[in-house]
Amino acid sequence: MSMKVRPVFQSPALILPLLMLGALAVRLIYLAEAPMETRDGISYVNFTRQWFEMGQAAIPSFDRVPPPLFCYLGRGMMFLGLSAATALLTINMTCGVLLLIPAYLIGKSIYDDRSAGFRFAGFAAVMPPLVEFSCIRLRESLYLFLVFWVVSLWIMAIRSRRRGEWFAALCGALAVIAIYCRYEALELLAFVVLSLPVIGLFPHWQWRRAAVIALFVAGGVIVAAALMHVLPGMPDVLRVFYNRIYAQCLGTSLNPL
Amino acid sequence: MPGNFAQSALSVSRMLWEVIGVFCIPSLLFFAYDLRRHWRKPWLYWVIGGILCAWGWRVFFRVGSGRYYSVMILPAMLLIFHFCRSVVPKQKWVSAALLSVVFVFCLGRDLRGYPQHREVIGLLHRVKSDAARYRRPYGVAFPSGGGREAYYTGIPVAGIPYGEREMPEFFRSLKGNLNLYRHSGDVLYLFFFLPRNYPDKENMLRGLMPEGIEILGSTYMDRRHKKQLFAVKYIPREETIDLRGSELLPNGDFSELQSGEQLEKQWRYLGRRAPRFLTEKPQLPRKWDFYQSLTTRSNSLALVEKRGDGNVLRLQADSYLVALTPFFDVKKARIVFFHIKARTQSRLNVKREYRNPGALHQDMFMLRLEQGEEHEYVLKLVDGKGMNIGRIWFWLNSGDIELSNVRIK
Repeated sequence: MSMKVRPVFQSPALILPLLMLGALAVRLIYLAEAPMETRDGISYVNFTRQWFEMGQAAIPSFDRVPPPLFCYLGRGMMFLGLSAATALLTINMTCGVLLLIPAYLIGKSIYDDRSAGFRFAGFAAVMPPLVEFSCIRLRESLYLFLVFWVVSLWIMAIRSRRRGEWFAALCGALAVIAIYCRYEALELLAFVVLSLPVIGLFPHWQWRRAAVIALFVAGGVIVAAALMHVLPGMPDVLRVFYNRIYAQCLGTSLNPL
Repeated sequence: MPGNFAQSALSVSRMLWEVIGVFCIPSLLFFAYDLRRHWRKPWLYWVIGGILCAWGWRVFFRVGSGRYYSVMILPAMLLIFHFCRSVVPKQKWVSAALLSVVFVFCLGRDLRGYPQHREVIGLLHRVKSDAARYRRPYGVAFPSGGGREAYYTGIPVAGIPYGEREMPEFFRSLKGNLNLYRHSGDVLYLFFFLPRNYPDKENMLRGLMPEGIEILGSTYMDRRHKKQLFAVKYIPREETIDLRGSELLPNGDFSELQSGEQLEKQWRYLGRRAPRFLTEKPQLPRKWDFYQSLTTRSNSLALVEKRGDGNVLRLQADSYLVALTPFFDVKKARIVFFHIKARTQSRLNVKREYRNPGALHQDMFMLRLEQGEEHEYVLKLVDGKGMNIGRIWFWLNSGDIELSNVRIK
């Protein structure tokens, strides 16, 4: 029996870290050019700092709360001694670099070719909007990191026969978590919830598999949603967040944007 | 709908970077052609349907901001990657060459950076160094929100919005009035964002006050020099308050109160979003109007209270609350006097509205008041330039103030 030996230079364990180092280098050079912070980014810095300095007692006084995951993570990092601005930037940089992992998985899964995965990850390393989002304090870098993971898990869920259900559950869970980063991740959740069980029917109308996938997706969604509501410090800010969506939907139109 | 779609396509293109947007066009055409090889795959239709739905609802709701299209980055990358990889099958060197071209373009864009941003940040840091010499600096940005200026200068900066077409009229109204800010800070920094073709910018800025205006610096905001940022410094001075010849605005002393059906109607109107109007049923002055947010619930309240031998109009706002004066004649220039006492830290926006014929509604000043401060203000209003009547909006963004003795001459 012959075993195919993978050349060292095609090993993901070697290539991906190198690509991530390259992605980090590009982002650091971009950052050194001092991109001007956006207005929204400044409001997130201020919100994170207020939340950290004034604690939970301050939350009822906030008249608007963005989807809180980004600022929540930033606040958590402030306990390590970082300023709000540095904490949020660190999160974005980290997400921008680690995004290459799901990018590799997406490229590899679609083309069944490891080198396609590396090239796609290399593309993600230099894609201008991804680089820019890594270097400013907006929610997009974290959001896109989650989106890339949701899509890569979605592909793995439909391709994998043995562990597809677990990938489906994780896919649903991350889609829910993404909602707490940007509202429009609701479409991602809807896509995952509707598509995975239906695709599970194929190729021979496998109702049982479809039902199992649906259960796992539902389970992932419920566990993630519950987790978001029990994280220390989250329930109070989520109450203000939900009130704002409710007020906007009722006050103007159904569009909460 | 076609207009929304075009706007939407533009937003996506800007968000991706225009060059990538252009690359997407042949990629999309190739993908449509290549579908014939993959039409049996059910998951593909879900993906296409998902992307179309994602785009469709954004078009329907007229979502203009590019950031709401950030999810399109992944489909755009996949389209371009698929095009580069598969357009000439079995010719790996073509694929490698195309991908390299895309890679080089992207890397070039990443490394080019924004030299203008460094200049802008440098100018704002200069303001920061200058402001360190003062105890209580204050800034106002036109027509920006002020957040970015506050971030880089470290001083509180309020934003006064206006449209480009309103600029000449806005600067006409600002002229001679900067001493209104003398109680908001011991030094005033003004940040003006002016279009390239605005005539004689420096002389216009220097002409805002008879003397004392200092232009700290200017820089362009973008590579094509479309907009220029000016940082201006002014130390506000005491104004001579000469009330001789002035008269009270109609009910400017709040002695006349609403009653009956009219008062009930006001409570019901304001109480929709500020329930304290319904529960506390406050006294409201005749001839004055009130306005508030139509969407946000608040604990705001307006009421007439007795103080000493007169009345004051007390405004309390956590979301904004507006008191509008009665209309007065503006065929010629007027001076409005008003007295404010701040019971808590407050932010008050003063606006003007001119009408008949036509209508003009313009922000003028964003005043900062600390708890306990009590000041008399003098506001010079320009003539209506063809419009006959005007009024002032006292727009309380947050805080608790008492307004009294509103006079005009």
